[in-house]
Amino acid sequence: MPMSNEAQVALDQEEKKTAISILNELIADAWVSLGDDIEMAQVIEGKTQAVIEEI
Amino acid sequence: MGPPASDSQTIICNCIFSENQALVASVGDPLFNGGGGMCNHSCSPLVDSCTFEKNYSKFLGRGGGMYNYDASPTVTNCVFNANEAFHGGGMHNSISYAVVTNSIFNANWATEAGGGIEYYTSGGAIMNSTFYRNGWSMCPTCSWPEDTVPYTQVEGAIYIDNGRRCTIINVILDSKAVRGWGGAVADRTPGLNQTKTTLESCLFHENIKQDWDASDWQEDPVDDHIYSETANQYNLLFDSDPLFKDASGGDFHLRYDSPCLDAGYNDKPGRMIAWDYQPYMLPTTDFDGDKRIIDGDGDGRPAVDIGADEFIPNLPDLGAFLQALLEAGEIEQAVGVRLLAYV
Repeated sequence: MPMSNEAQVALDQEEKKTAISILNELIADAWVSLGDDIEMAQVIEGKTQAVIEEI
Repeated sequence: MGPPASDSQTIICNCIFSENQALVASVGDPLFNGGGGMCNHSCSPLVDSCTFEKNYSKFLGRGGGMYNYDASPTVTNCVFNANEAFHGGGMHNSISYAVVTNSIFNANWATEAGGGIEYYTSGGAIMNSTFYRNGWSMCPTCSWPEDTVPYTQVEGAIYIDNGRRCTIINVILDSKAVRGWGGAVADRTPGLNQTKTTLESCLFHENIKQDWDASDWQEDPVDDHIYSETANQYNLLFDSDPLFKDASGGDFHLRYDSPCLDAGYNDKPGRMIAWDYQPYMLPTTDFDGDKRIIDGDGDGRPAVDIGADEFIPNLPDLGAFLQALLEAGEIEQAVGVRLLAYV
């Protein structure tokens, strides 16, 4: 279980690489957790990837 | 403002025009009067990042915020808020060509026509701009209290009379109120190809009018977005809430779930733009300087957003998106809580 607001905490400390790494963990977690719901996993990955692009 | 001494262009930026009034002139062209905030005559200024607020063109005056006569202003990143006039509460154009980009028209009001902008025997373009509650009597300098005259009299937030090719692209038109003809856009342009109005990739929401039935105004306003017999209309979205962050509080940034994200006209490759010969340049930044174009909806296909704002994906909005999935039961509780913890 990740710590609360992990990516935001990293960003607040200007640790961009750490924040991006945490968000990539989110994407991986979504794909594992959502199992057969590929469409939902894709949506979450897309939204998260869009945030990563802007960090 | 009159014509420049040479071919130079006047640039006005980062200025506030607030609570100014124009009286109707009794000489010359009866249409040439108004401009509470700014009057442009035979000139082509660039007006950038300015605010026009609570300006007033009295009696039969036009253009509460800005009046253009035989002028070609470029207006970008500007806010027109709570201006009032007889015609064109925010802006009036006569024999002019005004290009408006990345601008917000909020709660401007005309006693007769064109709460936000009026184009009279004029052409121009409105691109990536946001119109909200124009036509409603909201400003403290208005002649009547809000609860007695809540509507612009006869035509919409954008009124085009005898237009000269007006092009409206990627514009949000939300919450207009009109008595009589037309809702958000009223276009009374003859159906000639060279003068037609074009609406492309605009979003319309809660634009209402009251019909005149020969005896009285109908009690219940009806949904009505466009009054036009001739306008070209492409890719328009109707009855979708644009989902601003806080429109009533004046925050017109888009939410993460707005239908305006990546829904704008993007100068699609290969498209024949037969309806227009003007090479309009879509803006490269939005009204507060954020870059365009961003993949706001995260589908891997970036496109420009509709309206003055370009949504920038961010952690708080990603959290709000995951929270909404959780509350809607789209993802299991345990999964949702864990994913939320990442952001």
